[in-house]
Amino acid sequence: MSIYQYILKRILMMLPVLLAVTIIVFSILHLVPGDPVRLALGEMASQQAYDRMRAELGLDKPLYIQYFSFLGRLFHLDLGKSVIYREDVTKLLGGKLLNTLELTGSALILSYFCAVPLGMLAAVKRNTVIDYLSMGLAIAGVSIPSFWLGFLLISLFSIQLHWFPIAGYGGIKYLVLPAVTLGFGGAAQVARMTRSSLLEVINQDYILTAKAKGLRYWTVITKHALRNALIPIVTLLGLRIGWLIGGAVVIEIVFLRPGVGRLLVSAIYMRDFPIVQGVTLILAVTVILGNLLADILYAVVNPKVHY
Amino acid sequence: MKRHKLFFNFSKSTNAIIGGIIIVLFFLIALLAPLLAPHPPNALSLKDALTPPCREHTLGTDEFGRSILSRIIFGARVSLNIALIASAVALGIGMPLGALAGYYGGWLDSIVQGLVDLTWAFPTILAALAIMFILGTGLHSVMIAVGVVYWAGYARITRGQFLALREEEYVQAARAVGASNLRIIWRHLLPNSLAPLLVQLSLGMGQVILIEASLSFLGLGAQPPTPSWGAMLSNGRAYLLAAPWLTLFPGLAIMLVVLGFNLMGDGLRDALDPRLSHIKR
Repeated sequence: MSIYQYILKRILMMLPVLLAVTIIVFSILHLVPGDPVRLALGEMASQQAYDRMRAELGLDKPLYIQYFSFLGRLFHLDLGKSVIYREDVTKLLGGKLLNTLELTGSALILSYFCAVPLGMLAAVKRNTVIDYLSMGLAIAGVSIPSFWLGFLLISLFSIQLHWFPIAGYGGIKYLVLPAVTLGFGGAAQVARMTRSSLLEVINQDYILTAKAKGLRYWTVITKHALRNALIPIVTLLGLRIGWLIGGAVVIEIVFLRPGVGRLLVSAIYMRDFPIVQGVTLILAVTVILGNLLADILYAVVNPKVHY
Repeated sequence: MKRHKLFFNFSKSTNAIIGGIIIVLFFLIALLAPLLAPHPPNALSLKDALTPPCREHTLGTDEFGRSILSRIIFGARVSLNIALIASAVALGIGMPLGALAGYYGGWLDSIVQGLVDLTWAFPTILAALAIMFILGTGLHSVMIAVGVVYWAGYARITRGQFLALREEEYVQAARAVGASNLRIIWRHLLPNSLAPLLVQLSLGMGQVILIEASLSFLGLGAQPPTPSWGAMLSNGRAYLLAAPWLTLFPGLAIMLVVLGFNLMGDGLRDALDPRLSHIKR
């Protein structure tokens, strides 16, 4: 099987999960206790407005027809109309999704660029002060609440040092603190994983052979050991994408960034279910696609994977 | 691995001991909260509003003059309660499903595996938010939402353990003497699968506390005036410049208790995995 056939197979395997996700997202509306239309419009709404909205949402039709119509609309990227904003959810989500992806992408890149060298250093300098410090930092990183770290960074870098703006959205200056905040926890996990997988590889026979051939130490580490140690690190990438997208919801609130996370939380407060459904669906699909990408990357870096 | 050997390995790990001590301390604080708190957690005193840390108010007061120390002490009850109940919900769903999938295999396994994959398609906080949308806000909803979100990890681990153990000789021997499937699962496979579940439980409880804090921070978890660390951080956000102690101390409390669970989980994992003994120490 070629890599293309492998990718195709993975995409086909993804389809049932995608379908199940649409069923769950569709069910959100029907699992809310009480009448969703009354909840959205409030008790004071007129019967006319109530009937109009029920018809708009297709709630007067049988459940399976509602689902197929929901699915049909999805194919046209139609996620319905927001109850509060009276605008298409797709339109509301469009720009905000890009902002969220910008934040999660930056956090992902930042966490891998910092964490892999840190984990390597900790492994190479095992049981030294550098190892203890970097692993201490890593375990603190997975224990720290991201939004609290955001507050600490704002206090230091925005309020005390005036290096970055406190909150808001704009150029790269507005992105640094949110990306560092979001990426820190992920970086901690990647650093720990890099250290432990490198330590497992470092004692293997082929590394000893490479050393015995007289190769420079760092050449052995970067060209021989790291390539194999990378496999579990790439596996972690798939998990990290979901974690980062979830984390972005909270970080957007801390830094007042206009992303889908903020939109989702305000929609939960206002019982705006088309937005809740839309954001849940879009983010779940993003995570599934991210995992697909990580799987493909895994197959590329791991020679043991047979297509 | 024999129990005394596990305890011996665990007790050799400094990190695990530190983690264990932190957790025991926090549980004691939660249990003895009414005795330890210097003031009632919800006692208002507007004349003392936003007092910095001092002799009378060790960690300062919030915008309503409530003692931060007292609220942190009582907040430990909320966080640990949720960690215990939500983890019990997750374990209660995940362990039986994982056990059935691992033991019987076939279509049952495929269904459970599919459900696990589906659960993992949703980022944890997103899934919790969607469930909170359905159930409404409040701590009870948080417990259920977080429990439902975390079941998949326990199911995956139990399934893996059952798959590895079900063909062991002692299981075949039990089958040969006519033991029922239920007895094999309950008396033989489950006790031998508990160790990795314990690791997951320790690491998972730290994650549950972080998620609860995030949901309360977003205003969806604990509702006023319940003293919750996440909600305290949310209130303190408006006073970041004027009264940084409002956010500093609750955040430290969350970090410490999560650190405790993580250190203990790591220590347990190392103690259970002899391969790691030469690496970690």
